[in-house]
Amino acid sequence: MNDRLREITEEINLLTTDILVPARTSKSKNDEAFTKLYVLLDEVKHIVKGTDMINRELAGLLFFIYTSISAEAKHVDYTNPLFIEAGRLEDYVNKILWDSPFGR
Amino acid sequence: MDVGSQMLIGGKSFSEVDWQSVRVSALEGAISGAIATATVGASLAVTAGREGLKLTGKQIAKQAGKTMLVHGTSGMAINATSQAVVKGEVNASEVILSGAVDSVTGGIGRVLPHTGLGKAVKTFGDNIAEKAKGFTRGAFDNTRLVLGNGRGSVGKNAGGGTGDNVVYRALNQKDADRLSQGLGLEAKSPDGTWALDEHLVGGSGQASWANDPFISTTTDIDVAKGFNEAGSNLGIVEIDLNKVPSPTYKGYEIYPRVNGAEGLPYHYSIWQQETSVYQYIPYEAIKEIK
Repeated sequence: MNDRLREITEEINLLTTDILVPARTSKSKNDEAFTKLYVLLDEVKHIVKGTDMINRELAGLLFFIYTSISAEAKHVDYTNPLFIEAGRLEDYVNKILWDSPFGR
Repeated sequence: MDVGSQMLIGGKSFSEVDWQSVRVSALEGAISGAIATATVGASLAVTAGREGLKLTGKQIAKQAGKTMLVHGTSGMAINATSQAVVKGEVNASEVILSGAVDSVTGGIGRVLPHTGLGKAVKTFGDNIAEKAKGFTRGAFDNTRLVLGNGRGSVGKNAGGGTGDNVVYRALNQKDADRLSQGLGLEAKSPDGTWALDEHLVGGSGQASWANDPFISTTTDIDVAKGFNEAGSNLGIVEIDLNKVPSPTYKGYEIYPRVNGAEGLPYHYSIWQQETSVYQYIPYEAIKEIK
């Protein structure tokens, strides 16, 4: 794996507690943690664009975070910030896992 | 709208249809599939599928096979007559499926039960089952009428008509909340960055709430009813597009009719008869709530 991707994967891993615990326990959004996550995901998008392979550890971690947030989002109103973040994460994961033919 | 589609929806005779044109462009994909199914059943349905509706054709055939709604014995007679009329469109090797015409017409109704198209085709299939022995060219007129009636407002708004510029939308929770406050409709994410094709493909997903600046509407009220019943069941609004200042788009007039993921914007938009409205629909444009 690309060294930078390895670093990013670890940084994202360390953010999971800050992101997921508030989401699970109080259906709230940790603004700072999400902001850091999106900065990292923007970098990932840039790095993997046009490449054939993505590391399973990173892919699995992103899938885990997304499904976890999405699950919590099912218990909140559409106006809850967590609901919106689930959607934002879905779009990030989609654009990281493949070079989608849509939106070009 | 394609010439062939205009002729059909416009009520011209079947023999005047420009089948080459029907094969070519966007809206015609669905219509040619429907006509094919209504007239020669599986045979032309398969042909239409090969022309660009392959997945749908397969699904229809699969569904028809499962449901086995074989009503009568009209298949071969219809197929032979239809080949004479629609010369060049029918591959003889595909006639093998024609005996199952009613299976497929029934299948269309089952696959697309909430659409006017599905109902129209199923109705026609039922009619054919009864009229099989006396099948004449008149049946083609019946086809035209059924399709015209079945599509109703679709024809008016699909680019070829002069009727009311009306579309429908099944309300989501945000819509219902805004209407209750006397506000118009707003996209899930009015400032979102998604392009139209991303909306057409992902508009039902979670991501749309963070990214989608388009509002889905349909010219076919039965589509709206289907979405309403399957979704929040918060009701349907009728929207007068003449009072909507925002840009509107028909994905099936923009995106290519191809197979695979890249073709989904076309296929989704045409089967849903979607008119996508950018960002906002003013309250004044909402004519009535059903």
